[in-house]
Amino acid sequence: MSLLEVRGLAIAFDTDAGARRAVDDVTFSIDAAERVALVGESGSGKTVTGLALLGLIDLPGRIVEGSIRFDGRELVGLTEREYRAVRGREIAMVFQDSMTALNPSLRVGDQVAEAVLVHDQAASRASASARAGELLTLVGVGGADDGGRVRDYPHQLSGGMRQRVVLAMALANRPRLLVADEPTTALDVTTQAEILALLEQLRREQDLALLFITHDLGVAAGVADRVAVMYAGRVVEEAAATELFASPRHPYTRGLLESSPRLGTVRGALAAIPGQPPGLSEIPEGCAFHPRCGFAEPRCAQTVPPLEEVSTRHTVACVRVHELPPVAS
Amino acid sequence: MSMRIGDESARTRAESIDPLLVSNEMATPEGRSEWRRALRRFRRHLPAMLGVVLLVLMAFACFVVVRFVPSPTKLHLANVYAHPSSSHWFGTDELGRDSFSRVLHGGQISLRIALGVALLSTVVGVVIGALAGFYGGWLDGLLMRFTDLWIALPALPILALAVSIGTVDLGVFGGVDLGGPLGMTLLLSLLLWGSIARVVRGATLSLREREFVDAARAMGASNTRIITRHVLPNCLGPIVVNATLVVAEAILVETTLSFLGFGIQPPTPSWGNLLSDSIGTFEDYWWLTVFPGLAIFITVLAINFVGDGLRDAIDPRRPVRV
Repeated sequence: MSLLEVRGLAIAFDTDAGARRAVDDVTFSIDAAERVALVGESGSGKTVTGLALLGLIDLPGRIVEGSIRFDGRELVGLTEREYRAVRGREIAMVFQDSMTALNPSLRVGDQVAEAVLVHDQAASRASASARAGELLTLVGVGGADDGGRVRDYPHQLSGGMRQRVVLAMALANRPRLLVADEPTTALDVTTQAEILALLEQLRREQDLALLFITHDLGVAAGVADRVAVMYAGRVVEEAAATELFASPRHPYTRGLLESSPRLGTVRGALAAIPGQPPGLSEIPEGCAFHPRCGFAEPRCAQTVPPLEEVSTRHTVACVRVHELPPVAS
Repeated sequence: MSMRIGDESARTRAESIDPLLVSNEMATPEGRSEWRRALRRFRRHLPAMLGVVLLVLMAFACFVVVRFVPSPTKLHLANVYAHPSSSHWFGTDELGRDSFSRVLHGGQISLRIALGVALLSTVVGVVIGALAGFYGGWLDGLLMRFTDLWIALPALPILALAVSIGTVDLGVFGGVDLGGPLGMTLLLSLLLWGSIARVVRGATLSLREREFVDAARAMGASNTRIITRHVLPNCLGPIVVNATLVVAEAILVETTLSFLGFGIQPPTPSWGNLLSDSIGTFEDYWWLTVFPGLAIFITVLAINFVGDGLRDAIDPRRPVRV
């Protein structure tokens, strides 16, 4: 059984023009210790999906349909108090910007200790501090004994170091699923590689499942076993990472890959997907991608295509998936 | 490789010259905490340091020197209205009481009240402001309209009315004389929490949108924990500045009240009633008015200097005055 099963998740935001679905009919699952990447542009609903897993959708947003089962237990509809026990201990989250994700007025050691104390209020300050030291050593920031940075404030650390601290906090209560929302976007490329390597090492050591939210296809290819591509609030394609990148089936995924430069190939000008992704209030009828799709037919504008299995564990939401020409590579 | 750089400007210089020096995993310069930087800025703030010196002297006089002067209520009818001299530095009053002693004792009462008011009104203001700012919505509306209403109340008539009621029974706290030091502290606190509530609410409103608050929530922290561990520590700066200014305000309001005859009642001296008792005879016996007046003036000015300095020190965007 999967560790996490999301079924038909729909999240609506109340706007002046009525409720608008930022996420609609999203279905995916994550096995224990599996790495799944959620890929999409800004506004595709990937972050909102991540927040929903932790019950962090605040008004004017709300979950209107669907279920989120974690380890067999339904999370949608839990009370705030019940959800607090899940956050950090079962599912933890790492945010994008390590500068703002850390409290500027707390020393990093205290900050990690704080994460420990949230779930273990019986723990003494001293034991929480000791655990914080261990965690900081684990992520390479260093504990108190080895000249580490426990007594530093966040602004005294570099971006990479801060993101390590954020990771230490996320791991403080030994969660089983880590939701990482663009954890390396704010970092430069070398540091990004270091953090990704650290994340992978920790994930293996702690037997952690990972939901990696990113707009960067290259990063997704590097970290994930499986990749789900989101467009305008829906998953349009989901497959094993190797398969998705070798033979993308949905026109949107194909467009994304064709618009990414690849080393060692000479292809002339990069292809671009025409147009802009739709805003929340202007999602087109039928397949949301059809106005920008080179393969669109009149029927694409009529019904929302369901996710269809085209090969083992490879699903695509496109009515023309079997008629499309193979990808030229 | 580690480096230790003394001041910020040198550090900025290093970063602009050689980006490799400050690359990610390298030890960043042995930095200072935000508080230490603020302290340094504060120390460079000349008026603030002057204010600190004056306040320390004033507190020393009112709480230590006061033990070595004659009793403020000891009459010496053979020596009334004595000019300031080496035996009576600030002269004596109409009953021959030592005016220096009365100013110091009055200062002790006034300063105690002011500090108590700062403490109490800060607690009340912080609680109300944090709740309003953090939870927002109807609670915010309710609490802030209540605060507005409170701020709009005409303070002096209400205080005068309250003092004239005299002693009230506060249940477990027993009877409290609203005209006495404790009653005065409670009354003034009730009147002065509004500005702090507003400041804290404003700071909380912006802090609750910060990502570390989301991060704390994603960690499973409760609202109480988020407020006490993540929100309030980050508004400490404005809270401290405001509390400082409340001390000055409390002194002035207490003085005004006593001056009008509603404050601390004689024979207990306070800076306010020393002024009011002597103002009628100012032309003949100037020393009875000038010294308490100077004490009030110096103290309030010094506190405002300190408050200014704190504000400049805590807000890094303000230029450092050297």
